[in-house]
Amino acid sequence: MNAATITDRHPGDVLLRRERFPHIWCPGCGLGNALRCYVEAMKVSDTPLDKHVVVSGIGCSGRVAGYVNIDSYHTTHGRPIPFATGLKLMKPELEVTVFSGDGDLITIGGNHFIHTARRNLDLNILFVNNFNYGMTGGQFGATTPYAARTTTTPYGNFEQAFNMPLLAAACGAPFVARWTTLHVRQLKEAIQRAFEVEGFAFVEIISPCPIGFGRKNRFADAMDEMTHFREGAVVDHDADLREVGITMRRGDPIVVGNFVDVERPSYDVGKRKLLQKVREGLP
Amino acid sequence: MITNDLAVMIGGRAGDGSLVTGEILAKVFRDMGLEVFTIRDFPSNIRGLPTSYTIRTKDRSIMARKDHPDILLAIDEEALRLHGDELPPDGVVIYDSSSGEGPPDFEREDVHVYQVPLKSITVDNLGGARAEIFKNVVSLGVLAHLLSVDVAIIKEAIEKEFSRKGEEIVQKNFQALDLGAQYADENLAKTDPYVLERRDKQDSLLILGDDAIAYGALAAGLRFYAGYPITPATEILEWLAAHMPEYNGVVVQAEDEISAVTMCLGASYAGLRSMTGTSGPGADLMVEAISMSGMAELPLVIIHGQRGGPSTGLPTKVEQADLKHVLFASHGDFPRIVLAPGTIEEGFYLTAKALNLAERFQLPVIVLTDQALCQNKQTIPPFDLSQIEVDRGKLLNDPIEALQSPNGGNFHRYALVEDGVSPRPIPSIPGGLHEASSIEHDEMGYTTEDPELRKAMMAKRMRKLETARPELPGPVLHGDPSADLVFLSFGYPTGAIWEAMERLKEDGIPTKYVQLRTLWPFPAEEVGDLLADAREILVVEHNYSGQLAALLPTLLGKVLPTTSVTRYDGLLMTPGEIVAAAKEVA
Repeated sequence: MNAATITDRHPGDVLLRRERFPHIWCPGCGLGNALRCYVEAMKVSDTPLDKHVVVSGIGCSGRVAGYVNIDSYHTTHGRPIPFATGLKLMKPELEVTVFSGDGDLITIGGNHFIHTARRNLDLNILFVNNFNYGMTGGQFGATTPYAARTTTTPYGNFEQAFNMPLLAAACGAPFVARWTTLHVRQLKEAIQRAFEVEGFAFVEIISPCPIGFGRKNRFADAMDEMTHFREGAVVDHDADLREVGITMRRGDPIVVGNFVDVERPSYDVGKRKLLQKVREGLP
Repeated sequence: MITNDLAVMIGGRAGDGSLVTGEILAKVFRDMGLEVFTIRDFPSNIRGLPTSYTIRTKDRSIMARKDHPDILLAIDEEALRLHGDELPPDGVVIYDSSSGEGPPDFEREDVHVYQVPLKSITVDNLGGARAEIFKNVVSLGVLAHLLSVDVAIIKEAIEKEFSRKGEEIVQKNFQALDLGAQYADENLAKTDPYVLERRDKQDSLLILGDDAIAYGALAAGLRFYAGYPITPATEILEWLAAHMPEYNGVVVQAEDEISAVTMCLGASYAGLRSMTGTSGPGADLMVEAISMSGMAELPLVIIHGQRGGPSTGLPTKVEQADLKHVLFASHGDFPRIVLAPGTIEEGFYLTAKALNLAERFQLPVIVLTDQALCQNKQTIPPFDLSQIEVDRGKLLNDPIEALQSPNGGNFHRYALVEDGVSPRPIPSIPGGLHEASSIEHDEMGYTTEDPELRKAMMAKRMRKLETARPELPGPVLHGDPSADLVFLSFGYPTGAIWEAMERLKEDGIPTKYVQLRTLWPFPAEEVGDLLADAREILVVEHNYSGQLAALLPTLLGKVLPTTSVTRYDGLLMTPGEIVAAAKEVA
């Protein structure tokens, strides 16, 4: 076996702000993998790199805006989607990606999420779901499974979690995928596809959070949650989305796949069609 | 005889057509070369509740509610019961006598009552019960006859209003109008003193305040508007939704005000002019984005049309109780600018100015207005577009070479420059790569918690206010500069104060009025000078606690003799009550 080579270069260097490293993420966190998949997808995308823009919110995932070497905006908590909406509408030629976590995107920002999916605005939503609010120290959020323990659910979470692929599809997202941070190749390809899709492209990235979520839920070691993903992951592109909720109980599956990939007129296409009618004087 | 000075109140119910009747009447007065101000006093209701629409006309520019309506066009009995007592001696009632009985419980001997079977005339001649809607127009015919208004002018206005509904509707309205005029001619003997005379036609615009604001924004290069429906700012959203697509502009009705204002910041980051409009409850939701605009140094313009609060409050009525909100609402310290138009005309120009200021100084600019200015119409001179200059400040739209940092770092978006305003490249501009951020950052926009950098960034941002100060609209002095009885106000009361000052002058009491157009940063020096010799300052505002009066010592840095003149019942202040307040301290 060859000895490990230590290098000061990273394959994603061209797209990473090296001077910003080391990053702030905890050992065992999945955000690094998610970021790498995003960067790899950008490198092979048809869109020139200077036309890629990332908007992130607040929380651990929010830091991505500072690490990626493209134009980026680090918005307030819960608001990356509305910010990205304004940006995309005024600069349609940009490939606008929202990189956000579960607390930001779907808990405080849930209203923006459902309405923007309904509008089918041409955004890429990279949604890192680690089942808790990491940056504030491990509170429960809208994707925390029932009965899971967090600092604000000391007796277990009384609430039920969102099943995000089902929600996104129900709101009309034309592209819905879910992969874990172990599925780096599939995840990268799903992100590439999200860039191509004209409309609200949603990629859920199931990510370990050993410090915030794992320690209180029997995944204390960084490897435990990853092992659970590896053992529980079931690839099923045609899964019944009503059945893909995640319990994070050992033995229960984590269904992954590219669930939805359909054509549905984007906001821009729909708007142009109606305005064209007006210009041509049609009823 | 009272010529060219009257207020006609149309009292009816929401949805009964009295609003359209009022709109037509306002246009008729404008077409006669008269000045007009309309007052919609409407309930938070679409159909059924009592509503009134008052059209004031005069041969001089007006922008206030008259002390009383002169003519009450009572579309139903309720209107007479509600408003009959407001009429002055020699006032006029036009009343529907179709039921065959006189006006119920109306015993005033000092007003002129014209009984007209409006409903019977309509139903008998225009096609049965379904035609009752035309009785408004019949009453217009009666009014035209009484005021000696040429029916042809009204027909022109009717044609413009209804032509899109088809020739049949236009003809029916003409018929209704003629029936009213004919009835009046044959049956009524004029006893009241009011007449209108046509003046040389002035080229004037009769425009809603919200429309003027929207137009001002568009004229100043607005390309993105996001809003959420809320009285009294909804008309801005509606007007722009209709007009922006022609200019490749984008209008979004967002899911809430948080989203609307944040979308504006996104559009701003993209390098295009953006704006949102709202009222108190929506403004509450926008506060986090105001702070973000301050921190990320993204231009933001918010039109804040005040209405009666707190909470849902009096959603369709006037108030100016959000002053403290717009001056102070936020977390953290950052620079902001607050402007306050005093007339509908100023609404146009100050909105255009706001877009320049926001972009030049990269900060939030709030245009504080009120329901009275937003949802009423006034005749004003046509807009002078040559006065609108678009100044995009330090926006960088072209590839940047020289400014690229030599050590390979990214563009210094938040460069610590002397005047506080750093160059701002739009995304995807070569050489302009940067992170923009709501979190404390270094010159390139990267997150930092370095204490010295934090201090330097805070000072840089705050310096922008001093850079901006010389360019902000100063206070306007109206009236007799040597008077020691001084009014101080902003927004709607401006028009009422003008009229009050004229009446006080006739009574031998000279006054002056200091009208604030920039509320923040407060022009303490200029206002202090104008108030220096005041014996008494009457601070006029539409709120309970006298917010401006209470803040004045803090804003000015000195205590001056003030009397607070307030109104907070949801109705517009009248010149008469301001005269009375002034006489108490004169």
